[in-house]
Amino acid sequence: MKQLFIIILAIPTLAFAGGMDRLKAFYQNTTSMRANFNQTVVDSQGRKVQEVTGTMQLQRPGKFRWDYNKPYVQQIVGDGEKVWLYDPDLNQVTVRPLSKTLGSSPASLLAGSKDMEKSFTIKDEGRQDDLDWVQATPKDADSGFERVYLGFKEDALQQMELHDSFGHITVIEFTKLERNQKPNAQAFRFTVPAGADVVGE
Amino acid sequence: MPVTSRQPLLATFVGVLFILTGCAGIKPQNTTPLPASTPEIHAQHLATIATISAFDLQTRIGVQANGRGFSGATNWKHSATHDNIAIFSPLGAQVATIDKTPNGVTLIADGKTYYADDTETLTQKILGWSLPMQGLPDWIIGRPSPSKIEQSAWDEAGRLTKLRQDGWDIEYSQYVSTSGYQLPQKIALRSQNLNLKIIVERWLLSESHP
Repeated sequence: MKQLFIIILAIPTLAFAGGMDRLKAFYQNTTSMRANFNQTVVDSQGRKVQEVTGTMQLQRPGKFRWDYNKPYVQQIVGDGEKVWLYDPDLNQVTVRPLSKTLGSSPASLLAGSKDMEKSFTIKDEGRQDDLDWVQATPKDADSGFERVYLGFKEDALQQMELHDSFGHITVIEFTKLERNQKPNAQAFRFTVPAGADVVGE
Repeated sequence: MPVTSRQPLLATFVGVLFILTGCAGIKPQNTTPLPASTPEIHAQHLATIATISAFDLQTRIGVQANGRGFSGATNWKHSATHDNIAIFSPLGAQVATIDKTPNGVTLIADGKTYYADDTETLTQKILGWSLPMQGLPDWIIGRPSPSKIEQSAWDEAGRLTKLRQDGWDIEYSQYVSTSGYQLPQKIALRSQNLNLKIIVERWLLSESHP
């Protein structure tokens, strides 16, 4: 692994870098990220079953925040120790330790450190739609997703695809990407709203 | 290689006689408690919704059982003889599917398939909480199931606001007008061991012709 990093660093003018290299560069060079996202879920017959939009922020290690804005509001906040999921309409907060979600949730996956190979088997997937793709297969069979694809343009993550065991595909596209801007530390703190029910998973 | 195919929406719903609406926009209704209904008005409301023979609905659900819980989404297709419920995590991954026919119930989760005679037993065993499928197909459209009504309250439009049946306390806090029907949008169900909150994102109805 170390040798691979040295080789990559030694050849900065490499004309074509595959998805694996993009992924490593992403984990090395992106300490924080903000973006808008559009998430679409299609079922095994190709029918669109969900479309949601929102904003995401992350700061390594382990801090992230996904705000779903449309068609309904939902927040997923990783404060470095715990992951909080809040649905205002349901008035319910579900909380889990971060360590239990690192290998499974895509939000946690992105906010993790570069040793994601502990939780995922990584494979180069070549180039498609102008993006360099890697496939990440969770080693934990209970993670909810069978395979995750990450699509990079240069070092920037542009798209994710999550495939579950029922043939559903979740596509997350990122736009208005900003990298390594100083994030607002408040963003990664979650305060339980008064009156909300809090449950562990 | 990532592939996302998008095919046209197919009406796969068995027993659909008449699709009343596509993705009808849900308009929140006034939630202010209304005066009690007369028996005539709620009988009228029940007669109207009695023509609903099947539905396909998308919901968000919150489950709480003994301090543990889950929130996610469901897609539920119901007809007189068949129920199919898909349960999703907040990020869209399907975590389970439940299939109920007159012959029994199948639940698929974690790549394994489980069978039982009724949904309550099966979901309790596999998911850790019991989905009350005995009454839910009636309760979800805002009417009591055929079993004994222990308590009920209705608003002035004849809609159920509170119901106690089969050991469940059910509260309807918001209705939505869809295809000429007044249907529940926010429902809270409480039993001794379980809190179940349901928000309907989309109603898709089938109507039987009289």
